[in-house]
Amino acid sequence: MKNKLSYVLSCLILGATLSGCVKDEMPNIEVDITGVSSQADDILNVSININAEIIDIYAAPGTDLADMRLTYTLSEGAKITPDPAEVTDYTAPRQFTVISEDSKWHKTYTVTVRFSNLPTTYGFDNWKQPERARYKIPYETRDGYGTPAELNIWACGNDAYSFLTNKNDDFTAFPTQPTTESYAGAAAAKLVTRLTGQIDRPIAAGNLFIGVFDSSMREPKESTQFGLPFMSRPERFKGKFKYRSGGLTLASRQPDHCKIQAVLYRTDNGVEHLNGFTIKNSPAIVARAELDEAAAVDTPGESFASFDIPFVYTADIDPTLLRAGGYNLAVIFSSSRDGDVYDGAPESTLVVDEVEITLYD
Amino acid sequence: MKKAISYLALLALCPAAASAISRGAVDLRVTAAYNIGGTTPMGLPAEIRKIRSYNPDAHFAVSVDAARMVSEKWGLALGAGYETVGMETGISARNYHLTMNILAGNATGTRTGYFTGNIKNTTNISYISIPLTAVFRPVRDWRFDAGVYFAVAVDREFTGLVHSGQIRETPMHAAIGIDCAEYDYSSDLSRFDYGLTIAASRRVFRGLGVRAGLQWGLESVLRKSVRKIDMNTYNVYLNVGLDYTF
Repeated sequence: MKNKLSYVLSCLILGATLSGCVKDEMPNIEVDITGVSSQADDILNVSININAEIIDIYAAPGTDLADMRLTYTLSEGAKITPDPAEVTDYTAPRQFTVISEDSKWHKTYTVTVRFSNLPTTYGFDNWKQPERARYKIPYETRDGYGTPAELNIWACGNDAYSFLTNKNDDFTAFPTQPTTESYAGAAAAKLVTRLTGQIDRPIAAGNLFIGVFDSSMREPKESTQFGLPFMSRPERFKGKFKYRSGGLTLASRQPDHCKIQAVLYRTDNGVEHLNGFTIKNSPAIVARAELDEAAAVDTPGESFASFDIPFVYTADIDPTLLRAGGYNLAVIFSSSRDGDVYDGAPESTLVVDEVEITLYD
Repeated sequence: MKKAISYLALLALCPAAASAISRGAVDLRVTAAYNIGGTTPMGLPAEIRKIRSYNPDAHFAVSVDAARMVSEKWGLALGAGYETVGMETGISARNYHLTMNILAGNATGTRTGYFTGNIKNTTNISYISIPLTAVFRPVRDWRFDAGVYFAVAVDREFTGLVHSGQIRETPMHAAIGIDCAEYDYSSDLSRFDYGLTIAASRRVFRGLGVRAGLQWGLESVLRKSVRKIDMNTYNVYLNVGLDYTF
């Protein structure tokens, strides 16, 4: 009785006060490009960075870059100019401007289409501060279109930790950062596990991986999207590293370990990328090179140690699929092995430099 | 509750009132009623897309008032009461600008920005209320009151739980996925409220009557000056209950 009475009364009240109830929807303010597709099925991979306003597209071998037709999926109600149907020449980077439904916001993206030519040596000498970010991230360079082109293949979880510092140039506060104490060249990659001050996620492991970090996912393990198209057969995974663990991990009270691994996996059967959930045992993985537990501990002295790990193949490579760009390579570094479940020791530090993937043939 | 009783007792002991009551010049009446309604905006902001749920919760009001008739049918009444108002609402919002503390999601900590997703808001405010009304007694068994009230909040709660959504600082920034977040604007609620009050009471047995009333607040509960949610909200409550006239 009480429930029915309260229902009737609440309807009266709400009816009277929510005059007109739910208003007409205000026009949307969002200006994201959320996806890119091609009817000709000539795209292997799309990496979208909303903050940096960059879209990198890897085209399948044999694609004529001068004659492509791409369609862009946008935020609800947004418009894009120029009309993508009229843009067919992607031999040079193209710019598209997305305008929000309410016309008050607009963002210009640079779309670059290239053939998958993932470099196999990583010196970590080039770092840049992305747009709207307070940290630095490494990039590769590769001659293309007549001038050295920036290859943005590296991603990290720094976006989730911008509360660590208020300053615009304090990139050393972040878990992933450059360091001048390198083995060779101008810089190396330094990954530090940081204390966050949050109760359920007490640490933030420093990570660096080939792929994309998509912050719009609710579950952080889904945001780390590992891998980019690779068309060779990897044989060994080598490099220089230094590791100092911060002691015992906060949750499991074990000595902390670093993570250094590379994974080759198939992208047919709907597998676009591997993420924090699937990297451990997806059936799409064909080869893995991982620094074993005994070696993923403090390196002796102050100098760099070497790692040289073979790729262990659990399945044969299909050469046709390989040539068509149907495999992705992921390279992953982390200063705390179990950082994805927020278990690590604060101040565990991993420095990597001069990393190389050697190939068969 | 203890606070309320002591406030009421204080007022009841007011000597002037006491003597007026004993002289029979003043009708003393106590009421107990169930409050139902909302601390609601007048017209929802366009960012609120859907009301998913509404739960009035249990809210009550107790009061005492002294009415002095100046003519056969008309009089004036002054009262004092303790009441709680509030409700729980679930809404879907799009591009709703607010500040929240993200507990689980892609980034944690305090973030301000445009939120799209689901919010469950809980409002709970306890007031000491002073109504001043004109009294109209058309016939013996009926009494109508219409007037104003002034209230002081003794306990304020305005909290929300956010789940499954995204927030972005500006449309130029990437969205951050949120699994669970919370906000607490309790200290941003106004300490005072005032507004209009009307009530109708019908005697049913000796001094006992049944009553229904409406209270319409005119002061925005979410303070204008310190605003994390962009919305003016007002107390609008129906009360239904019993009263006893001595």
